[in-house]
Amino acid sequence: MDTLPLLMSGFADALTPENLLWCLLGVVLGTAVGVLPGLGSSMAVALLLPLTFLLEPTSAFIMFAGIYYGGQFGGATTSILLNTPGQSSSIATAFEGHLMARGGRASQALAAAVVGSFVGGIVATTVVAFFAQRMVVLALGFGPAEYFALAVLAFVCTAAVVTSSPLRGVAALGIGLAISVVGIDDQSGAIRLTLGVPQLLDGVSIVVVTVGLLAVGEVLHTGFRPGSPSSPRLVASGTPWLGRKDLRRSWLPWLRGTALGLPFGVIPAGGAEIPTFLSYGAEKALARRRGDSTFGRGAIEGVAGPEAANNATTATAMVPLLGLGLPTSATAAVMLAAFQQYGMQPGPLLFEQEGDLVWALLASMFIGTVLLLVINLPFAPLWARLLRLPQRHLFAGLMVFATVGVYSVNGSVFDVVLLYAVGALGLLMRRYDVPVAPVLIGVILGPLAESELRRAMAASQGDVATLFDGGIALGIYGVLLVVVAVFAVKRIRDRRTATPADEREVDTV
Amino acid sequence: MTSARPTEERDPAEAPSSENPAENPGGSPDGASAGKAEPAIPTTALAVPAVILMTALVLVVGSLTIRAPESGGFLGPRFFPLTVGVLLAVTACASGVRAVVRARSTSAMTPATSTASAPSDGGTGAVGRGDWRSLGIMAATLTAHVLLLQPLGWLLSGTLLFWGISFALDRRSPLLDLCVAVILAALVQICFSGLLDVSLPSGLLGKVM
Repeated sequence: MDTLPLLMSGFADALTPENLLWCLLGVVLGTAVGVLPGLGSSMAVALLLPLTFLLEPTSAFIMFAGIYYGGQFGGATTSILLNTPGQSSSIATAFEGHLMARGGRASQALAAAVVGSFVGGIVATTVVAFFAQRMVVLALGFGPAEYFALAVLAFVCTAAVVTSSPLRGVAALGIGLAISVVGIDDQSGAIRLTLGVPQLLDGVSIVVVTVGLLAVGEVLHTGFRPGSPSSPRLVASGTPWLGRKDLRRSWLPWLRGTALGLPFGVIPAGGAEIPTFLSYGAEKALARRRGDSTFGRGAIEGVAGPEAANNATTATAMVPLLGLGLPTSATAAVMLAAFQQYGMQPGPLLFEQEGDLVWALLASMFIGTVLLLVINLPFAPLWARLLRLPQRHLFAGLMVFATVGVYSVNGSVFDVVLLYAVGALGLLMRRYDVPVAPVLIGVILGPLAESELRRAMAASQGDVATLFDGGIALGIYGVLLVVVAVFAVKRIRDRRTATPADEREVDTV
Repeated sequence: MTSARPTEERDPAEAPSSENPAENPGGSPDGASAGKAEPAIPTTALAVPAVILMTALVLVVGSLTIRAPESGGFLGPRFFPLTVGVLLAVTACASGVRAVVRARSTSAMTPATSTASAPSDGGTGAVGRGDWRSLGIMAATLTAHVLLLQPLGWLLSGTLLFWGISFALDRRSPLLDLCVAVILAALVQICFSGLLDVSLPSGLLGKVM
């Protein structure tokens, strides 16, 4: 395991002027979408998916990683200055962060968030660089049965566990799988579910589904939601700055938050929301025990911890994505789609065949984190000005880019029609709190699950036992059982404490 | 869902499957039950189960009519879509029953539910009335854009697209929106055909110029 030399060669690739430029573009774009409410890094990456055919794979992934990281950095800015979290993973930051901002300590809150994100990001990226390769050694023993087990794990986790209502999650997953079936079957050549439309013979493109659900659906939903978007009230802020006292209070929460966030990226438990709340709760309890709690009046620990946790989770999500091809968040799912656009399948083979790309990507994650610190720490108040952009123009622009992007892939108007149809589906799902992420996972991993299942059954001449043969497959099913059990217990406990009526209102995208 | 866009989405799915006699008995009771249920429970609660059920029916009927080659291997091309279809049908029924039960119980105790709140969402508990006018304008814009993209070219239809969406979201300053729309559409055309070498339809203006 000569990780260091490989990483160094990755740095050599990533530090070319061209790739540095893509990285910078990625983090700037990512910060922008993180700051703007209603946009998320998953949508930004989805909107840029059509451009993949114009870019070198390495440049594209360096940019996507920048967006992914940048989204988490930018989300904190709006949470603190505006109390409107740009994405769900920065909700916990908003509690104390906005209180601090209202108490005239906005610059300290921003600094604690940005530096916390930096610490979480750097530590987690180091873990990824050294851990992803270990994962590959494990994954080398994977056959069809193991890959099928992995897909089932991803399905169950995203559909049933992460979402507020398992029923809706399964429904969303099923819709995704249904979309993935359309077109000519790879193995038998049979035409499936094209409904007589010749353009559907090639199937529904992942680009159309992701852009339609994430971007067009969001625009339609914004228009349909009653009440026009009012311009929010912004708390003014100076340049982020931490005094010695703040630093003393922040550094431990940064490390604790990072430690909490690390494991959550690896398991498919739905993004950074849970660890941020865990970190928030832990810091609150610790402050109470110390007896100097300022929680409720703007505690810097309540910003530092969750932000570090958030970025640590974001970064470690790269481990299962690169090592196994298992996406653990919506953005990771879209990035997996990007790999498939290039005809690559993340997993052990990726490290073998595209080693240069992987290591350049990992190196660029370090560079991106540093760049984010540089563009966020001095300029956070400047980023907040983005919020003055008229919202109608923002969303109209989104629709234009979604349309042009999808059209430019094949130059086909039919794809645009399909895009709008998927967008209508996205509107329906958003309106009734059906999660969107399981659809993406279904569309992206569905073909893999099906082909591996059929391959395994063909090899064993129809013996079902082959699926449970072998330690790795059994291990994956074991993990699956544990995850399901833990969340089932949690759900039952939640239901006992909460009234049954508010169970359906937590939305997860 | 009665706007132009979602019905358009459903139409292609419904038309071919109704050729198949097996689908009809399944389809009509669903529509009837949704209609009957209207006075007691809001039909919106059944919208999602209905869509899921329809997808399930399309899947099941569609996969049964797949012409599979003889050498399809152990699990042919039918198995997977059929499984997903059955799974979806079960989900649809379960969530439909649940929606009805929930609607009954909430109508019994109306005030209690409205106080429910979630930290993540500022919206109120119930699925509120939608802004059908905005959505209608958007749907019309998208339809017009798709129809006009080839004949008129990107510059005009792209302008219309931007203008229509921003007009749907906020009707206060249409003239400003129009200016922004023209500039943006032109920028996109320049970027895509000039820098990225992707040809957008030039249409009418292309012929004139």
